[in-house]
Amino acid sequence: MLVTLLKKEFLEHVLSLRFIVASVLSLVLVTLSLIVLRADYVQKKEAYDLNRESYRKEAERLGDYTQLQMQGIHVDRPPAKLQVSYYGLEKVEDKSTQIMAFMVPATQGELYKSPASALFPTPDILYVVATVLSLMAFVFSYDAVCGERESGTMRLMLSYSVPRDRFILAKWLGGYLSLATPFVIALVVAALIIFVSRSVGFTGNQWSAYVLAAVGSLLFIAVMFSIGMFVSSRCARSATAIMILLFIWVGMVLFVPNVSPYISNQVKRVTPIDVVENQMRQEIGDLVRELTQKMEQLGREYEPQFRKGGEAAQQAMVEFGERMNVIWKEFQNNTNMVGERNIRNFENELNGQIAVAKIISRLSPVSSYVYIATDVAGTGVRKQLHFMEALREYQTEFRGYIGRKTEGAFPFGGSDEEESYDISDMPVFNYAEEPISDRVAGSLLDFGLLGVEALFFFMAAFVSFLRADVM
Amino acid sequence: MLEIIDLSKRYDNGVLAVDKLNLTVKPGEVFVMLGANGAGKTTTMMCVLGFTEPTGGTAKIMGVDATKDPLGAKKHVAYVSENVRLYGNFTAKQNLEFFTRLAGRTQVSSEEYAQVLERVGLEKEAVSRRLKGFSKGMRQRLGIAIAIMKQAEVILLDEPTSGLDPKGGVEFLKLLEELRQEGKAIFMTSHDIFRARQIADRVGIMSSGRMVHIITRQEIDDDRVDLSKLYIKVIEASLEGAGARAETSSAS
Amino acid sequence: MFTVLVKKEILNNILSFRFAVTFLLFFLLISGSVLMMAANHQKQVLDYSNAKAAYRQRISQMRDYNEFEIFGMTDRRRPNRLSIFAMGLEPDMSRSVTNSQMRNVEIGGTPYANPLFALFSTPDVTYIVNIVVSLLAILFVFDAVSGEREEETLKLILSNPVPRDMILMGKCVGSLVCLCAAFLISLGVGLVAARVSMSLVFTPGQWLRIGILIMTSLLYISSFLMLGLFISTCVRGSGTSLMISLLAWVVLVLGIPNVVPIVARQVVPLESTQKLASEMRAIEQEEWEAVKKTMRRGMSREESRRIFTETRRTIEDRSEALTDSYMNKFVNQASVARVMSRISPSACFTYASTTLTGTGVDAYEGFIRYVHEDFRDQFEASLSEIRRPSRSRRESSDQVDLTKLPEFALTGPTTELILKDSLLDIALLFVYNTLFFLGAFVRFLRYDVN
Repeated sequence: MLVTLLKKEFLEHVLSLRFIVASVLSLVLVTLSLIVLRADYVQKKEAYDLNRESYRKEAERLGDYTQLQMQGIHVDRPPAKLQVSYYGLEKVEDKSTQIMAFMVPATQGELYKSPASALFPTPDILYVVATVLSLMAFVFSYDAVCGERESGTMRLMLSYSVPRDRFILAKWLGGYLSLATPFVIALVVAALIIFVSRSVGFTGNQWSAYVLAAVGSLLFIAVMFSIGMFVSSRCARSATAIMILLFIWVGMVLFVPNVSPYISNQVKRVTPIDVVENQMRQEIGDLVRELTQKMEQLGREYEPQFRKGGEAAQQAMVEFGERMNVIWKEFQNNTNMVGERNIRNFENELNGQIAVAKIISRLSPVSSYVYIATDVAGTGVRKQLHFMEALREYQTEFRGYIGRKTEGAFPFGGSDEEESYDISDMPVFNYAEEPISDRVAGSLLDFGLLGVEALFFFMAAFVSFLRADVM
Repeated sequence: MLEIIDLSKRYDNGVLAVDKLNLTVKPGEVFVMLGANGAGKTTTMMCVLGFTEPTGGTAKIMGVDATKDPLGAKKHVAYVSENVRLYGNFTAKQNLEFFTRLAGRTQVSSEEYAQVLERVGLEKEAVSRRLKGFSKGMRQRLGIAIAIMKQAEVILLDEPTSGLDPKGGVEFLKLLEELRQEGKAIFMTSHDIFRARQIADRVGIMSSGRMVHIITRQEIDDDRVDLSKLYIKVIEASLEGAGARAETSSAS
Repeated sequence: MFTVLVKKEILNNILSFRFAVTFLLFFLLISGSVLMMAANHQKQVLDYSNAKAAYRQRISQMRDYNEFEIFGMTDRRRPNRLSIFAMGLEPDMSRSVTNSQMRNVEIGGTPYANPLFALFSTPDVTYIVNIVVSLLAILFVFDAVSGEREEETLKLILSNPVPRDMILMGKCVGSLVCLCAAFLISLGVGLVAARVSMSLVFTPGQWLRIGILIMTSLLYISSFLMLGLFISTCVRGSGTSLMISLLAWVVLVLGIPNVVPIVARQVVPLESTQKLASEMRAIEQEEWEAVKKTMRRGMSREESRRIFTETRRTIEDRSEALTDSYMNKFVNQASVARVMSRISPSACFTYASTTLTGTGVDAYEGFIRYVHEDFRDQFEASLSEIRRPSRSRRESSDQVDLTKLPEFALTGPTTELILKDSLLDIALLFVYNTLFFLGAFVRFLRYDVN
């Protein structure tokens, strides 16, 4: 019996105009966005590779290790492959980070944005699902119950010896399947396009991410569909139901997630970034002053010995060099700590604010979906933090390398003792994405939340339908 | 056989829609229930079909108590609703197939479908057209086809002739007569005295939840009872009653 | 006759559940948005005042020339009050600007550091109008004609001596009045509430721009009303009309404006910003290499200072040239995107509103140019005035008097320029209105009322 009902529900949807509209939109928007974002990825990747080359050449041109110590090496954030479907924070174009021996790295947004898309959201799969498909979910479900009531077919159906729960279950399944099918087809088409594009070769990890993000998308659509069914079961007229659902849609999709960072900004203050930057400048300024003083003092101390000339002067030179080195290393460590402390403080404050914003935003299932999709795809907040950690690890490696190479050399002015400059053994920054299992583990809360919401609203619709008067 | 035993329905707002109704419709009998809007005809039907809980009494369909075993009772009753809108995107055949399967009949041949559709007078081309383009009469016939395919012993029809032209009405009555010959117990609500007089074995007149008159075929044929006059009298009485009620309620 | 029709339309609308929901949404969203964005702006202003106070303090305290040479001075742009209505690129223009002699101009981090700001669009008033109000407008009228036909009231009206064009005009005016009133009331309440709770005031110049923004919004809302009416006259059946209207809305508001810019990035590719920075660094390196060769031992301080200053100037000039050519391409890409996306009234509205509030691409370009050219040039010019040579040999370095240092003073484009820039987009909105209305008009004259 369930199968009969299910077939009818599915068929009824498939033969309707809304199905054609949803299918066309799914297919066109998903594939169009994929193609467009793939071209964007290719552009970014080319630029990234070129820049890597030029940074290397830049480092080679520096000529000696002390210069390398001062200027450091530049690294960029590699573009995430999954930006072709879940763009997320790839939108924020980062400055290239300067990895120096004595400053903890911190990326900042770049000033020269891409002006064309600066004012508009990226039309990726995330956007299509969060806005278009969620609207379609409501359009598919708003008259599920009240529409049948209005057209009189409800009474007819209930005059048959079929328990009510079968009806509502079939309605949910049939409607959801008819909405999900074109979307899944679109995703498969998109996957095929990715598969045949040599420019965007997905690794196994990335395919897993693609599939898991797709599961998240389907779960989100299920939540919206359940909400639609619930409202449909409570309303007498379908015209009322659609208006209520639109109200809910606007609130959930266009408002709640968007206001959350603003509210959290009022509720959980963070030290303004320029205050932090200022603080660092001041502290480093103090350290520089201290360094200069110490260096001058040391210079004055050894001046008479240098004037003596000869063996004694040579001896003094070596001693002077060693003591300078110690002062210099101390300076480097201190500046590193200043940077570390200030930036960590800021980041901790910021993470606190992000946590508050996320909690507030989770009032809407859209937020949970965005977090799932971007974190699993590696284009979200989680990736940002992970990348920062990777940069810090690399900086430690780099410092170690520089430390070894500049042993016994003056920081200012060259030394004859120095080795010949060859950076072929310099550690290279190769960012490895977080393993997919960790990313998923981090999204379990949101997955669970969506699952609970879908179930809750379905149960609510179920109970409502079972108890309702057919009149 | 349809048995309505001491059926009562009082709504939450206090209105007594059906007041201790007793009625039996035997197999091969057509019972037409007349009454003004709000007299309780539709509510009675709703109670029998389990669309709403009666506040007293019960209904039995082929001996199965509809209040105690609604699903069991529904196996034996077919329903034709007043506004037969059905599923607009489906064709007539698709609509029919769905409801037949819903009735639990899975192994039905195409010939049988074709036969029934022909029997109710739906032309061949209409069968494969979407229901959106159907006239009221055509939908009505489809509704009856659906009821026939259920092969239930009791048939309930809610205002089936409203909106039908004379030709449609004649064809409808022919079908109903055939079904009566087949031994179905038919219970029908209507405003249409004309058609009631033509088809009914018994006519009931309902007013304010009570069956105030029952007239047999014999009485109509023998002209012992003028159905129209009686009906109008009941209506007027109910109007006065309603007026009196309105006065008392506005006075209190 | 006409007033009778219009009154009926307005009354019919006001009494509908649809309108109740619409009005409630407008009220909550628009006044809520104004209040929230105003609160956010107040916070930015507070941070700015603190930063400015700290700046003044530093100016009076910093004496050591060496230190100034290395660290320079950091200043900021005043927050734009009109960004309350359209955030646009304001977050990127609110960053600190550091000028120092040793390096090119540096830009600090954005005060909107929370990544969630980037994940979700800002819910400012123009966003709400752009997306929500347009959707509601379309939902308001999608069955204006087809619905009346289904309810059979259209036949009834036409059985009276009423010309068809008057009926259509009545519908236009009726729905326009209702929606615009709801919008204006919600906005008014929001502004009043912000004034009362946060003392939010605007200058007359800003009020002028706000006024034009409001008018543009009304024009935008109206264009979707006309579109909905047009669809209603084309399609039989309200169900179909709803679907087609939604489809049109999705394509025009969610589709085209967001896809076009990415296409534009392919059509006019910009070199990556990191590459630009890298090229600038290469310039610096080249010049300093060249200088090393000309430096001699035992050069006087004055001499080496002169060479230093000259080299910096060369670096500046070359960097400026690089920035200039980049900015030209930048502007080019922005124009191409703008032109291509004008097929959607939603994009026209976004461009017009960000231009009017001074948070659009033009203002942004102005900011970058100011930072790299004018502000930098002023800084350079003031260097000779602020330096005080050390009076005694004991002092390790020269002194500075930073009171002569130029402060950040970007005023933004003039009202005249803004009006000129937004004129085309506003005119296009007008054209869309006319187009859709004419379409509805023509279709309705021959509409089958059965």
